[in-house]
Amino acid sequence: MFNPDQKAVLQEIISDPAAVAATVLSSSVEEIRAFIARGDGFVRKYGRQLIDKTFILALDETTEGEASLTSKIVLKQCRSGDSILIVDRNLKYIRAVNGAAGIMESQQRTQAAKSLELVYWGPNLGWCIVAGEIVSERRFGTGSREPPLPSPWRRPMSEFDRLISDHVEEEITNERRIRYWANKRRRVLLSKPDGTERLFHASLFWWLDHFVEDSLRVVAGTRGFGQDTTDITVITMSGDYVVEVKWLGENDARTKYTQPPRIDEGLQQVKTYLENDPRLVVGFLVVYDARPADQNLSRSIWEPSARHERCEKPWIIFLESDTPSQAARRAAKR
Amino acid sequence: MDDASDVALRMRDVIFALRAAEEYNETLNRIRLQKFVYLLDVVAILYDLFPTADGHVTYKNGPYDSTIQNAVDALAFRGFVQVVSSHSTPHGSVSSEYALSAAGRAWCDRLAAESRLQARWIAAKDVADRVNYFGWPRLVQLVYSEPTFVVARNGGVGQRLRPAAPGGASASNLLRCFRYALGQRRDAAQVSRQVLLDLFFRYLDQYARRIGERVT
Repeated sequence: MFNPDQKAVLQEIISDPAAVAATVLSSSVEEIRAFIARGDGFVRKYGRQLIDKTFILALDETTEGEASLTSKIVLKQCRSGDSILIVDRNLKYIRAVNGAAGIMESQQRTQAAKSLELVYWGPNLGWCIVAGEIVSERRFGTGSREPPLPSPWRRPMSEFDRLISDHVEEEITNERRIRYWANKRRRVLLSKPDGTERLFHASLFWWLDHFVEDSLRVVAGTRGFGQDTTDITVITMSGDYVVEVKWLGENDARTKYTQPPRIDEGLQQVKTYLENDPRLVVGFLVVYDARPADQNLSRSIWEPSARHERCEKPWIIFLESDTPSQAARRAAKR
Repeated sequence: MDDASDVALRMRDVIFALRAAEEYNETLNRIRLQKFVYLLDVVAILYDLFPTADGHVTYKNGPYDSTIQNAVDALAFRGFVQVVSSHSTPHGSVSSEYALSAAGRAWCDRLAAESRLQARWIAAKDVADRVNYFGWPRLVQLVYSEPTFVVARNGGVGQRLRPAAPGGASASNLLRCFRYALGQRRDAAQVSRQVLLDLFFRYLDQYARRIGERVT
């Protein structure tokens, strides 16, 4: 088989969002690569002016724009609610369309139109979405959002438990790299800007995209079993792995998920994936648990019949909200 | 297939290679001609073609097929190919740059118009297009990164190269990986030939850079 250098280059090529986009659009890989680089370059260049702005650069290959996209155009259109900016390959502005820069909406639009959109949330976060699939998540800028050095965390999918524990330790614990508490004391999760599940999903997707050693590429997308069922698929030479993300507890939009039935629903979804997609070899369910600690301990039992034989036992990640001293005091009281 | 048939088929490949390079104002010397035809054989699988012959082996300067040199000599003797320049190399050999004569160009046009040869001609043009994108001076480096050659060269001179072999570290297997990983999950859409070519040449380029960086 391929030597380690060959495998590494193969992974680089296949995980390039331009490769996926060019496949779907039947376009030139090099031209799509240049378009994505222009979009990212634009955000880097005007980063300071784009703080707190969420917008989408949607590629239109059939029309040529006249004027180059500027930060003024983006700011003006965002103010009027037209956050979807249609541009050509050279990032020339064509027109703006009313709508929010949500990931889910972008997935639905691009799936229907078989198109490519670059979603930007301020100057730090970006996604490339192609035909309904998130094919890359980018973290720009500097500071605490910078990715950790890759080498210590690279592991094969066969070590999924260690991948998850690294992800929790480096990203989740104490909101190290993502913010998810709306009210930490009351254990209420954030729902903005794109739903609570998206917060955890994006973080796990990024982790797997960067640190799964044997992946050819990692994609996130709906599987057509309901618009809210966005999964992560890790494609390897020995088959595909599907990861379903769920959360438990309450968020600031007053959505509340309990077990039962939430974990069972997740297991059932993974079962459906495994039964319907012959390329899938193993399924995983990762549940982020914002319920109080006693519920995490007493109400995390799931229905065995909901689990497919090729689905691993669910990972239920308790989201700590106490500092170590608070936790010690609480334990002493018990 | 006998030697004469192999040389005849290679005459066609040499004509196509020189004509495709000419589109970019390039001439090919002995080594670059070998490399170009090797790439042509490697990507042939994408055009539902088989490699012309099983003749490529590892040699001092990369993949080498003696029938290619026999073919270009025969074409030069018959006036279809011109030696546009030649000079002595530091190693004491003579390096010649080849280009098509007017008769060679006319013959190329006739060959390219034949329906059973069109796919081969299109493949030659596609190879030239991608080599041109990455730069003609990098043609040799690109071939040195082709996965079948990378593995076979470890065995020394004279190793038979089979880039169309279905398993192992072959070009064919690399293309299969591209197809598998990029094929759509739900509708099994095909990855187009042009995208596969883009990815294959991007792979060659990145592999060459990766190894080059380590050497330097």
